[in-house]
Amino acid sequence: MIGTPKRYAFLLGLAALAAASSARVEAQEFRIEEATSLAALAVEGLKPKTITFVDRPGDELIDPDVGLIRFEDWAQAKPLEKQFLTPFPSYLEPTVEATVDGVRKRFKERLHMYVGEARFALARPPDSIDLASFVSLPFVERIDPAVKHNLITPAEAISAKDPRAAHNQHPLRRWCEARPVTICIHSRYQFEGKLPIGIKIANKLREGAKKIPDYLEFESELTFRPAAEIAEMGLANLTGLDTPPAGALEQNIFYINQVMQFGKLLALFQAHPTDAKQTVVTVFIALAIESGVLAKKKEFVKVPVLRNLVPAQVLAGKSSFNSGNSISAGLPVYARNQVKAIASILERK
Amino acid sequence: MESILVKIFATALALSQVTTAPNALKTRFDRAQDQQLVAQLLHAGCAHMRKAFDIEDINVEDLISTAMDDPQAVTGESKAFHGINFADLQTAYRQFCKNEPVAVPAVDLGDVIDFYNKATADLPDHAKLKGMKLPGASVVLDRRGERFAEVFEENQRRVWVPLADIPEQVQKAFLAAEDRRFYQHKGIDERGLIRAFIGNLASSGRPQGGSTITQQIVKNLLVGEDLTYERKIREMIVASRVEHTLSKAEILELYLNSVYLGRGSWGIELAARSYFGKSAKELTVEEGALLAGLTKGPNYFNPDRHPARAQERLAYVLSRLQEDGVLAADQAGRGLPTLPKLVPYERPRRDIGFHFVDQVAREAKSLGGIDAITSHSYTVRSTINPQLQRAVEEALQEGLSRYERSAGRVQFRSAEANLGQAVQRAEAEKKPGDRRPAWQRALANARLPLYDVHWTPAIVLEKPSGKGGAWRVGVTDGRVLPLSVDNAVAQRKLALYDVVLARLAESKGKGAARAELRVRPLVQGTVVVLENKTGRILAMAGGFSYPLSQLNRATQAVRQPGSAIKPLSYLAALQNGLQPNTLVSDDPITLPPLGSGRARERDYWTPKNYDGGYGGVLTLRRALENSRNLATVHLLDGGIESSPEASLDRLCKLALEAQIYRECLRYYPFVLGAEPVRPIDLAAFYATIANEGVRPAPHVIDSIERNGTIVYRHDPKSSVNVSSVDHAAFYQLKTMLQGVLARGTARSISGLAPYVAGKTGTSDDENDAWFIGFSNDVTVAVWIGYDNAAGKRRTLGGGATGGHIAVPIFEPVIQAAWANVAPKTGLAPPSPEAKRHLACKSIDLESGEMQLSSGRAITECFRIDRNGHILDTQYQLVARGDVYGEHDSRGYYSVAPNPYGYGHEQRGGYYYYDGNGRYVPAPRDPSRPQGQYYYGQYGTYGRDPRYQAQPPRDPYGREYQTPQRIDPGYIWGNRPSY
Repeated sequence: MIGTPKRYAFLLGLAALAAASSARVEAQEFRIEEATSLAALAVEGLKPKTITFVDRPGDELIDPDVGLIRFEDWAQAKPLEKQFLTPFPSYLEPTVEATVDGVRKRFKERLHMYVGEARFALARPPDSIDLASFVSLPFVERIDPAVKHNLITPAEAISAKDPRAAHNQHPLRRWCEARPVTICIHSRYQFEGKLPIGIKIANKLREGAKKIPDYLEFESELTFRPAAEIAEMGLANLTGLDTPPAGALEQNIFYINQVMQFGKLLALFQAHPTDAKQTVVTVFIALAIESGVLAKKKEFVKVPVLRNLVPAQVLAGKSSFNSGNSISAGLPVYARNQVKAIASILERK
Repeated sequence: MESILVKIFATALALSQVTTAPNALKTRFDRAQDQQLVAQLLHAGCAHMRKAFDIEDINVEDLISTAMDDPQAVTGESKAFHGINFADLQTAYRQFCKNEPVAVPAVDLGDVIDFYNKATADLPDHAKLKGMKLPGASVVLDRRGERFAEVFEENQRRVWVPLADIPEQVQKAFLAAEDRRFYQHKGIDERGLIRAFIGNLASSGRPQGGSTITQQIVKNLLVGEDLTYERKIREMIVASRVEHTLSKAEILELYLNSVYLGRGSWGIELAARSYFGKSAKELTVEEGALLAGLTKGPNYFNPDRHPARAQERLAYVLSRLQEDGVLAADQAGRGLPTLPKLVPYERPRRDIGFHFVDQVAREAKSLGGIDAITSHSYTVRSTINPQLQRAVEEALQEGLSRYERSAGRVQFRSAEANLGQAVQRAEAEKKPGDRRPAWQRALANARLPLYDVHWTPAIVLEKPSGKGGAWRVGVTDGRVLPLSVDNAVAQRKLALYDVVLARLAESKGKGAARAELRVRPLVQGTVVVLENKTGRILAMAGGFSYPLSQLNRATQAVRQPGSAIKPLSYLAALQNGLQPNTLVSDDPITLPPLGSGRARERDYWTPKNYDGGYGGVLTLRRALENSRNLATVHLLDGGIESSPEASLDRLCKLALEAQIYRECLRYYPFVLGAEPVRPIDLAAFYATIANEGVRPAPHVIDSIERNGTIVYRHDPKSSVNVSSVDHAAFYQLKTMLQGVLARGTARSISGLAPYVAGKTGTSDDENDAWFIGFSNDVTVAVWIGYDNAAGKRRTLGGGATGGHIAVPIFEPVIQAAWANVAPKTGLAPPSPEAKRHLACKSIDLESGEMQLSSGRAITECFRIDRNGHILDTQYQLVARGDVYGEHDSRGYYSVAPNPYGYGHEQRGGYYYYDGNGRYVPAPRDPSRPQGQYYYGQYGTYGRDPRYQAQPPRDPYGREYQTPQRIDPGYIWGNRPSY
């Protein structure tokens, strides 16, 4: 076992994070085709019932210690992604306050980004898809049954009271408000597999009253962006595809109780450049993981057995504690399963 | 060698027992028969741990299995970490925690038993801690009550404080920082231990102990700090036993008094004083929390050097106190707390008085009955005068160096240090705003080995290049000065950035300041300054430098006093009625062996004068002033008692009465200083003379207190009156010793004669050089000589007399005494008691005649009879008719020539080469032609029939010396002279 009880518990907690989830794949007919470059996402190369997925378009940006991109590097190299995949365009790594060993400290919360980009073609013309109808709880529930959701009003959001989410507040509006087609969701994901046991034993070992939760709790806004808005925002620039946009579904996770600072799911629907009967869907999944979590005990990454307990390994899906199809399976699996589920739902609707 | 798993399970065996069966703890198992028992104990321990951690419902094995299932493992990849094979842990878990049979046991229980038995052999006695009082730091105050020094054993600088005097919140701060479950556990905190085990597996840094306060005490005081499993096992078992023997309060008290908290402070009381200038009982909770935080790393969290770290640590402890409910929520967790106000760190560092402080410890034992002054925290009021002490050390160090330079005996061996690397570091670490050059910063930070040598450290910055080049050195104030190096070896050996010791000659007028190289001398010395009336030792340098030699030559060494003992004989003579103007012969003299029986030739004693000359008649005063050996020995013959033996007995008694010696060896050379003496005792004798007979008891401690109660006080009644000699004789002797400075062997400081009396001393072969002098207030004893090496004595060399090398050291010391102790005053006139028996009048210095002639006149004080008449003893020892009437160039009054031609400096007489190759006047051999005084063997003078008919005789019927031929191989010449 690793580290002091506190560290140990934290590790297992993170492991749990990664392991969760079973983005349950309902759309069995879609398959994932792994790509290693954004060029592979070219529409011409899209195959039926196939999702081209890339989350490591090149190693040059990857922080080799944790396998993710530092927020700063990402923002510099991918300004468009930074603009549209963060909670709001002016988002910066937050300066947070925390009590560490009795000291209230302000420090910059460094982040590492997991960014997955997927593209697939739906065999339906854009105007046949009622995107606004997907802004609903059943849609969200179908994406990942392992995560439990319920609708809340903006006033019920924990994030409004939790300083952890203070810096995620939108500068121009309250989340879940001032948009025509929007729902506000509270979600909870119970870590799966052996992660909860690990967290439990870690909590027994650690000193102090503060315990590590064996679940993830988050709040998000799911909204529909019509074509006009997309055009106005220039959102379509993100896809590199210059066909007319039909609309977008965007989920902003503006509060997460641990491990991550924010998340975003963005599905952009555009006309197929050559086939009017098809719709090209480009899906982005961006998750901002707190770098401090990843930094824990990096040295054990190379140590057999112990590396299973290292958060970065669990998040990367490389630990024996990974399980299921959801978050507990690790972020790469989770993201792929998310996209597959969405594709399947869209295909069926 | 045992595998790590064997060690871990042996440790687990100890842990199992102390947690599940502390009262039936076994320290011995039988390898063959007890394996089942050990397995049961381990099982019980595992069950206990699962319960302790409340994880009985958790499938740990499953967790281990998952961790073991490494999807990335490739064939052959090691699964071992920190020497532990994880598969073994899994097997062991099944074997001992689940009681499942395993095909191949993870560990051989026989090996575990062997290791455990070995670790638990000869466990220390835990009962020792019951009532244990740890050593303490004592404070030595100077004579004004100012803090002068601290005395403590290494790593034991503490002041013990009872737990009741430590505020409860401060106690809780330490518990919050170190052992939160202190009042719950029974010596071992299994949670802490497991946490530490896990932490140590994971951490590549400093291992955690996971130790309770009880374990820490056991580690620090009983089992040692080895980082081994054996130590951990011993520590756990003994800690468990301690919990049965000591109350929690006793354990906590021991801990709070033993823990090291930085600033050279062990225990909370001294730390409180050192950091906050207050007692532990006055500590606030924040101050206590700061100290509690230091237990983890007094250097790392040092608030002086790392205030930010100390703040964070303080915040941590305060937050724990808040969690524990000791502090209200608003008292912690609000950003970095302000550090409590610290008092400046006064390092317990000094550069003077090390031999003195050693003497304090010895005296506390010998007089105060305190076995070790470091056993508790005492406050010792000492007698030291720090300013004078510094002056004494400076004078001695410079004096010893001056002697070696003048004698050509300087031996340069090496520089004190080389700061080449330190200068490089200083260059790299230059701080903004610090304009000092790197060499100056390096020099300022250098810790030189001779911390009590008062020359100036100087760093070599330039070596002479070519002709006309000069050595240049930098000193701590930043000046760069030329260095005179008058030693060839030093010139050859010294390198850039070497640190040497130098004496700075400050600029005078237009002359620039410069530095003179000083080299550690080999010769040794001691200086002690005694307050006459009280015996207080005001200053004492026991050697050149304490770090080079801790021997205190003032109190722990005996050396031949040479002529410095002569005042004893003159005192006895004066008490016997002789007067300072009594004439005494300075002729050669041979004394037979003491006692009865047949004497061999080599048993006769024939002393010599220092200069080898002899002859003449001189007054007692002049004999003492010029330190004439023969004249002194002549005093034995009727000057003190009627016979030499009786005189020797009298001197012995007087020496014992004056406590110069503890026992007296009866042999004639004693009177010339052959019998070694402690410098401090000789100093006390001279103070006795200054006091006209009251011998003060030299001491360095006035009183000792413990917890505000006096436990020892110097008894002023310990001064003794040398009652066999009256005040008048002492006073007369004092005036004669004043003459030693005025015109005698210490005339190089004749300017001090109105204020100082004293006597030089030079022992045989110039092995020892002395000067002991006193003013009205203090006595200063100076001794110079080489330490005896392998029983051999080393001469200081020809001409190295007390007058030449000890007197120059005395002079600055007495000046410092006048500046720091009591102002310079003329030597006091006789006391009323002395005055009653004295009448003073001018007389002729050389002849002692009361009718003044053309010679020098001095005022001499004479003993008077009951009728007030001066007792005239001028010719009591030498007949008037034998006095020639003229004194020679040396001031010796000559004896009339006689048919045998004797007289002083008898050039035509018989001389011989002694064993040292020196041409000396011959002693008298009764078996050879007569030439000098000879005493009959049985106390009857002149009975030897061989000489009965030989004219002429002296006024006492003794034969006069006759010039004689000397056999170069004459063995008596080898006898020592003093």
